[in-house]
Amino acid sequence: MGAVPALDPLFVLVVGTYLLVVAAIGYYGYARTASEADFLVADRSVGPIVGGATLAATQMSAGTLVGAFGVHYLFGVGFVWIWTGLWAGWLVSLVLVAPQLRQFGRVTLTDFVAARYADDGAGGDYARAVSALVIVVGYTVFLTAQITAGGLVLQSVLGVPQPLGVGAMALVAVAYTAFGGMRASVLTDLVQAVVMVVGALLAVPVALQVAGGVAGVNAVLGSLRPSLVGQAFSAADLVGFMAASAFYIVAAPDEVTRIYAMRDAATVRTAIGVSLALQAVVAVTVALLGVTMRVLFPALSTPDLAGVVMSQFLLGPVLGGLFVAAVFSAILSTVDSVLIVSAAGLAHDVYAKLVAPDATERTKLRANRAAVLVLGTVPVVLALNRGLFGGLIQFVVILLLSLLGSAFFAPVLLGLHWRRANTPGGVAGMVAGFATAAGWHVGTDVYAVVPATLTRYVGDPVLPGVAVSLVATVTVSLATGDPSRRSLAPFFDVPDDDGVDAAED
Amino acid sequence: MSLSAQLGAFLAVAAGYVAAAFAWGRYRRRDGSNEGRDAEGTDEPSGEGQ
Repeated sequence: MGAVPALDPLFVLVVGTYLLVVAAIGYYGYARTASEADFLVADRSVGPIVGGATLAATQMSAGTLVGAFGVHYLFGVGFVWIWTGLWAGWLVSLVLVAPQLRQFGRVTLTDFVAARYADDGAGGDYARAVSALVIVVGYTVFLTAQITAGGLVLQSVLGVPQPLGVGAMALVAVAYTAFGGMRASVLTDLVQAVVMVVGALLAVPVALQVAGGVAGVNAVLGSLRPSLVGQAFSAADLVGFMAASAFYIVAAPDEVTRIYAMRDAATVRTAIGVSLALQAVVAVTVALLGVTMRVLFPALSTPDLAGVVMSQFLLGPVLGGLFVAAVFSAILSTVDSVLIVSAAGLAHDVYAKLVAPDATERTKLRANRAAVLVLGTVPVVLALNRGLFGGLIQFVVILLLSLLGSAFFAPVLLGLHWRRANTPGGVAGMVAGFATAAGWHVGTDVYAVVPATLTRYVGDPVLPGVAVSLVATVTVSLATGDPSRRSLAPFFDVPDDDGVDAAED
Repeated sequence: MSLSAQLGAFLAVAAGYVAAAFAWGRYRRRDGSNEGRDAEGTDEPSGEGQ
C-alpha cells in the first residue's frame, strides 16, 4: 500500500453525512433516556426487524468488516465456513436460550446468573459479581480489537498516527455510548446493518468487474496458492473457530441485553431469523470481496486494511465513503453494545446491587455513564500494545469468543434446563471455564507449553474451556445441596409441596 | 473446489439455517401455549425452560 491518497470531497461528504446521522441518533437516544431500564434495554420496545438488525449488527463488528475481510484476503475463501458454526450456536439459542431469557425479562446476563444461582448467602449478588468480572475482563480484550481496528482505519484513510487514531476512536465510542445508551445503540445498529448489506452488495460487482469476474478471480487465486480457493485451515483449527463462535453466541452477554430489549419471546425468535438472513448476505460478500482484493492488491502489508484499501482505490468516492462509514459504524455499534454490558457489570451489578442498593435512578444512570468512561479508556492502553493478544484482529475477536463462551455456555444452558444445577456448580462452571480457556491461550499462544500433540487436535481454547466448565458445573452441583425454591421458581414449575422448599434458605 | 462452487455450497447451507430459524419461529407460534403471555409483554416465566 502506498501513501495515503488525497481525500475526495465527495468521499468526505458521504462519511461526514453518515457520521452526522449517527450523531443525531445518539442525541435522540440521549433525549429519550431517563432511567437505567431505558439506558440498558430501551424500555423493551424493540420489534423483530430492528431486533434482527441489532442482533446482526452487534455481532458483525470490526471483526467482520475489518477482521474477517483481512482473514479472507490472507487465507482465502474457506474461512467463510466459520459462520456455520456461529449459526449453529444461534439455532441452539433460538430453541433453548434466547426466548427463555426474554421471558425471564430482566436487564443483563448477570441478572440471570444472580436469579438462577441465588444461593450464595447474598441473594445471588456474589454469583452476579463473578459473572460481571468475567464479562468486564473478556470484553476488555474485545474492545481492544475494535479500537485497534478503528485506529488502523483512521490511519489508512486520514494518515492519522495510530496512537492518535486509537484514542480518537475510543473517545467517540465512549461519548456516544455514555449519552445514547441502548436506544441509540439499536437504532444505529439498524442503519449500520442496512448500510453493511447494501454497501457490500453494491461493492461486489464493482470489484469483480475490475478483477475479471468470478472466473478471473478463481484462476488467479488458484495460481497464487490453491488453498485460497479451497481450505487453508486445518480441520482442528476450523472446528475450533466454529466452536468458539457457537459456544459464545448461545449466551453472549451483549446479545442477551439486545434480547431483553425486545418486546417478547416471539419477537426474539423472528429477530434471530432476520439476523441470520442479514449475516448470510454479509458473509458471502465479505468472503468474495476479501479474495478479490487479494487478486487486485496481492501485497498489502496490513491484511486487516484490505476492505479500507478497496474503498479508497476501487469503489469511488460515494460507495467508498459509504463503506468506510459502515466500518466506523460497525465499530461504534459493537463498542457501544459491549461498553453498555461491561458498564452494567460494574454499575448495575456491583455498584447498584452490592455498594449502593438504595441509589436513585438518576444516580444509577450516572454510575452507568461513569463506568462507560472508565472501561473505555483501558482498551486504549492495551490497543497500543497489541502484541499482548497477538496477530490479526479477527483472531483477537475469536479469543474473546473463547473466553466468554467457556465461562457462560454450560452455566446458562444447564441453569435453564437442569433443575439440579445449583449455585456452587454454576459459579464453579463460570470460573473453571474462563480460567481453562485463558490458561490454554497463554499456554499455547504466549508460552507454548501445551504439548503439540494436544494442540494438533484441539484448535481453540473454547473446547477445553467448555468441557471443563460442563464437568465443573455438573460435578460440583451433584456434590453439593439441591438449589433453593427461590432460585428455581423463575425458570421451572416448582409446586409448593414438592419438598424443594426444604432446601430454601 | 472452485470459488463459485464453495460459495454456492455455503449459500445453500446458509439458506438452510435461515429456513430452519423461521420454521422454528412459526412452529412455536402455532404450537405455543405460552405465546399469549408473550404477546401481552409480561415478564412472567413460562416454564419453557423445562
